[in-house]
Amino acid sequence: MKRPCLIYCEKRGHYRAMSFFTLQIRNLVLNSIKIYQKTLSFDHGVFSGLFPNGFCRYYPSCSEYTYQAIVKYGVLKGGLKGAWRLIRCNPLSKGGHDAI
Amino acid sequence: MLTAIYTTILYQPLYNILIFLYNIIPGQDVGIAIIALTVLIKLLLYPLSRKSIKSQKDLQELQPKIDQLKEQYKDDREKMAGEMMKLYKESKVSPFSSCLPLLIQLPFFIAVYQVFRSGLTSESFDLLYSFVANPNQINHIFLGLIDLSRPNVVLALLAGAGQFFQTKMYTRRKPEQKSTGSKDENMMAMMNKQMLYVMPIFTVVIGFSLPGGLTLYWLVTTLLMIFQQYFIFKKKTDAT
Repeated sequence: MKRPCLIYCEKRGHYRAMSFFTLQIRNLVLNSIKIYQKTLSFDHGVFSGLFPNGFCRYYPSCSEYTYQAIVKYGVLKGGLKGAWRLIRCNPLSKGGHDAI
Repeated sequence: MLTAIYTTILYQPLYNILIFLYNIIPGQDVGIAIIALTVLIKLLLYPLSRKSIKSQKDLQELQPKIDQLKEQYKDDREKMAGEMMKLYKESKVSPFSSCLPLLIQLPFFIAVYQVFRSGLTSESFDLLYSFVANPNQINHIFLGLIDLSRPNVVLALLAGAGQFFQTKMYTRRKPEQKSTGSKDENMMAMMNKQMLYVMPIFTVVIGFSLPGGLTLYWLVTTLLMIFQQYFIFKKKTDAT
């Protein structure tokens, strides 16, 4: 059985249908990122007190960037963008403002 | 396939070093071997941790200037960020870490954890290299007193206490927030407090359920960290 679900697509500016299955995967990934941010993350979580100036050299942080990328581009493309951001977030890079 | 790569590159070498240490250190005590391997790993990672503690130290020395900038440009956040960047650049302090090194270290620590867990049992000897003697049996009674294959309350409490002192040391040196506490700063103080108490409790609770060998590893790491912090922070007071 296929149940279409509506989700707001920022890129196209209107709601679009998404299969029930796709939506579940998307929410699973997004919720895992949120859970990571609330717990382990040095930028948002319990340990953020250790880094008063933030941990990540970019703004928004890698996890937040990935979250927004997935919301905007979907799990596959957004996830790839997030992975590329993680690779860029190394001691050699300059960091700074880098919004999705 | 990924598991195979992980086993060959990370797990197997670490496991062999542990058993090797167990073989050569007199007394045949896996607790001593765990301590030795922990010290070895810490020495290996010393440049990394030194860098992060040092940048923390530099940042704390810079804190008065940062507060001043914050006060000066409190209405113009953009300008404040720019001025702060300039200050960091001038004093050659990098306030930021980055995500990738952290991510790379993660599999390593998972491997260490697994090695200590399996090192406590007399299994997986087939993973030993040919030049490491097979001990046939692992003695998991530490100093003839503590059974490291079972959870140990005393070790868990000690690890928690160590964690408390370590966090306290790390956050203590921040100057008191004198300004009339904006929301941000209150939040930060709360976070620090949370860190100070949540982490040790967390450690004790986890320690209750893990085999004593892992708690011992945790305890030794924390003690070494306290030592390291003491050493690096002390250098500052000598220099000035």
